Amino acid sequence: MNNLNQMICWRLCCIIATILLNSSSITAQVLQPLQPLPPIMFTEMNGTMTLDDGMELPIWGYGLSADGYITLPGPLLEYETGENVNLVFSNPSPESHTIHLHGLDVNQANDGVPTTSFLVVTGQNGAYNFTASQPGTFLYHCHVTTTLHLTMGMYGMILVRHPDGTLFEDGPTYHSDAPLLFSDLEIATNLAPVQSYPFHDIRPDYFMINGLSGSQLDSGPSILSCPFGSQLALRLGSMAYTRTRLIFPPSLNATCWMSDGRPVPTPFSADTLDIFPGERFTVLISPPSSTFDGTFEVQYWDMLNSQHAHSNFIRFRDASLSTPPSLTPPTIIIAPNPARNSITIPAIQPWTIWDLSGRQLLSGHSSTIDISTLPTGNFVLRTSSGSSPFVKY
Amino acid sequence: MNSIKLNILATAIFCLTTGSTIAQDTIWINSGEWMQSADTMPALRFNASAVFDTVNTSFNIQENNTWALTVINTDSVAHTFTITTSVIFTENIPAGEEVTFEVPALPFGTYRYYSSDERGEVLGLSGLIKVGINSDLQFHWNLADWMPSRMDSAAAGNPVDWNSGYIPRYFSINSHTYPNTANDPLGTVTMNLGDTCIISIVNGGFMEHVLHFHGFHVEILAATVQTSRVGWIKDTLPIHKGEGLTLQLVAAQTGVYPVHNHNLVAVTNAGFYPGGMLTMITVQP
Repeated sequence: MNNLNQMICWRLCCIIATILLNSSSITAQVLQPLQPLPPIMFTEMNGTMTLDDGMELPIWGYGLSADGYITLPGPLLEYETGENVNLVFSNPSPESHTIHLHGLDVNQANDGVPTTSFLVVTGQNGAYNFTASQPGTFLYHCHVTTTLHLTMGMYGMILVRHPDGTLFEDGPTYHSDAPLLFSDLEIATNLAPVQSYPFHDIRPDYFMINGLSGSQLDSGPSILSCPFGSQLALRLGSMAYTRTRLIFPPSLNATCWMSDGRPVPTPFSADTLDIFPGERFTVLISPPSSTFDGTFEVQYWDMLNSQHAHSNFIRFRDASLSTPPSLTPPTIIIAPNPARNSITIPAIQPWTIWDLSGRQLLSGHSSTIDISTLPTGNFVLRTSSGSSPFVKY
Repeated sequence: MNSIKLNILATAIFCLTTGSTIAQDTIWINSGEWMQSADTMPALRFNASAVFDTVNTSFNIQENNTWALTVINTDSVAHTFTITTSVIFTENIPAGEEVTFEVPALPFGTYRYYSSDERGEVLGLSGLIKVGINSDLQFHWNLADWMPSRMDSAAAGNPVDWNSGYIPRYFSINSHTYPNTANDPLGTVTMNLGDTCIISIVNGGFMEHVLHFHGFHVEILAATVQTSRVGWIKDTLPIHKGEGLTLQLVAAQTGVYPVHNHNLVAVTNAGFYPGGMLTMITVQP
């Protein structure tokens, strides 16, 4: 399938999903089929993540309906300053959930707190409406039995960009963003969340940056880069149970410009920066030479006894030393598409099929897939190497 | 003895007219019990009268003024009245005795006062001093964390094993845990749209805490540890052990919004969620 077909298919999926979620908007959506549509978030409690040692660990989390799977952390939500946001949230999972928009100062109705806002119960949809009024780094997470749902993985980062390429009005310019979300979990809790009481004694024993740890951070998109002479904006946030401490080599000239979505009164050198749970910072760093290739350390400190619990390392180098990442996300070639009775994929491999509300409908291990039992509609096929939408007619 | 009785009477009258936030010159070290869920814990408190109250009294004094204070220790062991700023001010209060001394002048801000005796610290002798805060709308949060087994051991006269594992079971604001924090006249922020209030916070616990405001950012007006953060506008604020923070909150929107510890083990009571260090801000139209 070429890129144009993929785009048309994706737009079609979004349109139909929006129609399904909000029947009152059918007319408007049909008349304006190519307008950008907001992504639909969903949540599930049947995901897995792979730890640094290869262990598969159960997670709960958020995902985009177009992808059909959840991740830890959830997808990065990106907005422009002043953007009016309609964040549609679908919950096919067995328990109620919410999205708390941490730090965005939304009103009570959209705050994502069950007792003061609203719950999205199993099988229902909700929508959060707010204006991203301030540029900066923010977070989101479930606020239902928060102590448990966070350690299970229900969180992500929100990035609100200032439109002119500066961090904020009259702020510094920068080359690009590098979101780094620090978190941790207690493996025993994820393995047996029902038995995880008491919640006051959660002791993290696995420590992550964007859901990765240890050697997982040594390759691919975890390696940060920026051209010599320009600055990389580190968007730093913590959803951990520990205090995170970043230690930058002085040669990176790490300078903190923002905290919690507001400029700090006086930017300061941030060679050592502590980030407590829920805090965010924006720090600019730059490679000291066109041949620079080094690391900075991320430490995790126990909040109870102030003891060092773990360290991860982030690699940072001049952009000339990095291979630019592919701009095309991995996809699976599905044929035919649309299809009525069966589809084929390139090789025999494990696959799952999801609907646009995030419900897994089929799974198997083959290259020819019988879809005759699916209702007419739009679906997502997922394998370990990527995902693609398809249409059943 | 007669002077003590007069002091009790004067203090009682003062408390009735001002709640527990007082600018008086006599406090008592009282012993009693603090009950939470299924636990009854031995407790020591600085109170504004000889009657035990689970809430440590707070002071509101003018900045840069010295201040005469009498402390009456009704406990069976000696305690101190200690304030840690850039220097440590401490006075010993022998068991069963009354001591009057002059507290040094303090600059604008919020300060923790406490007993540096380990039995006093573990059992809750830790209060809050507001200095130079003249707002008509002010609230305070005295944060603490509690491990019942350590408290029982200290009350029995055993030395505290500071190197043993510390796993607090309760987390409180002004000695209240959620949902009771929502009914605390000293700490539950209630204001009208457009109002500005001052919130004074001390961390009297044994661990670092971090409070997250829903719905609002606040400005840091003063800090005793993180002094470089004065003037910052934040929604998530670490409070180091023993630190005092003074915050300004402008009620920019109506509604009911939680404020809670974002180290989420601390929003529990005996392991049950929600509880602990969680309170509410209510802004009326």
